Amino acid sequence: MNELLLEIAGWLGYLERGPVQLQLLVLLAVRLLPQLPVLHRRLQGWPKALRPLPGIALALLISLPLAAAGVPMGLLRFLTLLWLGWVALGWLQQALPRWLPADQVHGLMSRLVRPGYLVLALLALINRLDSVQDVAVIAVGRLFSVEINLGKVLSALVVLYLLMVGSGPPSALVAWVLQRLIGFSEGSRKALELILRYAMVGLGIAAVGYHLGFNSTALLAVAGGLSVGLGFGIKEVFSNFVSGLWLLFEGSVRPGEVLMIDGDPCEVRRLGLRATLLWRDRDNAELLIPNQTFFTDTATTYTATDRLRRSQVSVGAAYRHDPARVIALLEATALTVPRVLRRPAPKALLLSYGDSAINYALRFWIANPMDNVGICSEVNQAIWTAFAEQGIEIPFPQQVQHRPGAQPPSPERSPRQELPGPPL
Amino acid sequence: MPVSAVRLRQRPVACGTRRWRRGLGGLLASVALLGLSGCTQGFPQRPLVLYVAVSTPGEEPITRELSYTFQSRFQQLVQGFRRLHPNVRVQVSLYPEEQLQRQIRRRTRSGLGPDLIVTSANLASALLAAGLTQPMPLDRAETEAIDRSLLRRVATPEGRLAALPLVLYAQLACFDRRRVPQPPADVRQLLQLSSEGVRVGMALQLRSLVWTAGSLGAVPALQAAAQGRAPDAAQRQGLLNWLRWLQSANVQKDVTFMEEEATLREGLRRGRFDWISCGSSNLPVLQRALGDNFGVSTLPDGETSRATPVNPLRVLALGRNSSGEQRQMAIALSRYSLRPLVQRSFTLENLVFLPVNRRLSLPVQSSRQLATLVAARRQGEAVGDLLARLHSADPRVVQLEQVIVALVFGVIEPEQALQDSLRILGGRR
Repeated sequence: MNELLLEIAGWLGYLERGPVQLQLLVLLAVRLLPQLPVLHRRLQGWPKALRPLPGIALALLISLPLAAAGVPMGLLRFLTLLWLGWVALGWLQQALPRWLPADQVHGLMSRLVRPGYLVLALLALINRLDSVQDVAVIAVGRLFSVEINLGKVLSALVVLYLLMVGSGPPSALVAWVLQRLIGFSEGSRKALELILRYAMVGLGIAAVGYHLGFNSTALLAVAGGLSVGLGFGIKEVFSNFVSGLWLLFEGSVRPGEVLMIDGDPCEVRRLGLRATLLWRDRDNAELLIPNQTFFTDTATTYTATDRLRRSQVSVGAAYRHDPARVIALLEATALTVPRVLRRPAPKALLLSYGDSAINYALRFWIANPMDNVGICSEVNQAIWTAFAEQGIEIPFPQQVQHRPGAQPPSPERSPRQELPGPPL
Repeated sequence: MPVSAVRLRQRPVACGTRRWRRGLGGLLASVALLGLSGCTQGFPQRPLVLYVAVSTPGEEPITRELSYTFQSRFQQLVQGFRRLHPNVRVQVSLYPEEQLQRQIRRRTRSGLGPDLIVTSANLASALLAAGLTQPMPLDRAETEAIDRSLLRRVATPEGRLAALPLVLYAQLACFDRRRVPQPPADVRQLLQLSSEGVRVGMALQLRSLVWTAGSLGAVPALQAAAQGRAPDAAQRQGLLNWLRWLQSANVQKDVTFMEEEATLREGLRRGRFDWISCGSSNLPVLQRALGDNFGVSTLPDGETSRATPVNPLRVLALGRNSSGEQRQMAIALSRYSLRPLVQRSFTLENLVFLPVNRRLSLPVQSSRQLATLVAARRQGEAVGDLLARLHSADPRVVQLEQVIVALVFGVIEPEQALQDSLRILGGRR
């Protein structure tokens, strides 16, 4: 490591050279010029993406006569072009949403393009200061009796980063192709995608280990060390990871599944390394629940074998109406709601005789468990309309009070009849 | 002021000398370097970084082993110099020879070029011609100590010195003693050995094959053609003999022509070859790999003429971007490296090259390897004039190599190759 630090410190010696100082000063001046109040105010009127352009143009213009006079200006041009490249990435980020979804553009730029650009820029800069190939063989330490050099460390980190960030699209593509060929469900496709991704990352880590020069004994030693570490320090993390893998293979918690969490149906969005991300329709909340929870606790799912859900609404009808007529009406009404499935057919039941009404239940099937609340609302509205049309009363509790010496109210007239609103 | 007139100032060596320096750069560099160098005796003298670019042979990738070899070899040279100039820190960067010119051009255009370049004589001449280095200031007393034939290899037609010779490597024969107990004395014996099952490897590059031209009497014809003269009948016959030998050698079952010397070296190391032509820079690697079974000798002569190996000359060239102080120190280091004692100890510590200082005597009796190197130098002297006229960057070399490849693989006949070679060598550069 000391060798590397000495090498880096050695590059500072270039600052002793006049042309190097000049180039850096010009770049610094051009970079700071827009901070002057006069220029700052003028540039405020420019679109933000174009504001660096005058500085870049000025730096390149300054370099021209100086280079013609024989002063080395390559460093200034190189750094200015790097700056221009960085600005151009901003333009690209603004333009890409025309072809790609905004969240994908953000992920692509912030996780892949910009970090990649910075790494390449750094390597190009080192190539001007020194020999990249020579710097790459500087030893930075030993691990399991294997000498690790800078080039290997950097390439290993880049490969691992690319695997973590970039393994998504290829896995998705393979899973999609397999789904088309074999014809499995959407949830299975998502699970397969995740399994493929984990497999790629796992193989990548092993490949990086071999690239660094570890033999299988060293890798086993790493695994042994990890297992001790897992036993003490990161038990929960590992437990969540293993639970996640288990759930994926088991198929009970996959992206697209619907689970009941605290009485609300929630859709599984992503099964992560540590936690599962679920979406709750009621308030558009996203819930992060450790994988271990699903592994150890009871979970209610509507999508384990199929995605159908049997739903139910309750309603009361006055005693004077014939239950058979009410039941038939309820079943017919359910069929008028478009999102209620015809088969299995809706079923109305007389549940009990209540204080002021006969209680009925209408049970029906829906295709998407996440739509339950909305469909129940539609069914309830349809019942209200059907009862109003058929003159079926939905009574509410009535209480008769007797005053000493007062005449009891006439049975022909109900106080409700004077109230507006509820159907008769 | 011409560079040659610059006087070297002897800097005080004490670590605690106070001296104000100009510039933010110097301050930053000082803080960083001192922090790492561990100077603890009060306020130190400001360090000076000397950037040195070193070319490695061919396109061979830079490995940790190669880097360590070159870095440590150069640090041996610098070690004594730092006793005189303790504030100097040398930062060495290795480049494959094929990439050196491109990388030096890129760095020089940025003002980040090296102060010193350690490379081959041919490449140093090419760098000067491309305006990427500055001529080495001539110091009569010092240049007189250097072998004249070596100086000619780095001299420009205008009489400038593209670089200062540093050391002379040698082209030798390397073999596995288990398979070749006695090295072949001449090329006839070499083919005899191959017919007995000894696997012989040779490189197809012209500079690696020229030794056979000497053994088979083709050098006079090549020299005459390179000088623009028509070779006489005897010389033409010598050249034809060489070309015929090359073609017949490739027909042998156990003679293999490879593109690069590095491939041959790896072949001997891994037991695929028993006898190869090799550069002396490869000796430590082969010695480590083969141990006591490793044998080294001069290349086999012919029946009537001697082998003419091309002994690579390593030189020191001055970069263009140095500050005044860096330039002074680069020249000082170059001249220091030519001191007889330095050359002697540098040679004896490594035993893979020879000094360029002709006044220096070497204890050849004490080391067989050293004696072989000296013998190879003598063999190579015969081809010095040809090399001075035929740099590897010369387009004629590339064309000649194409003719040799076509000949060796039987695409053209020796007579056709003879005509082509003379036409190419007689052509304009």
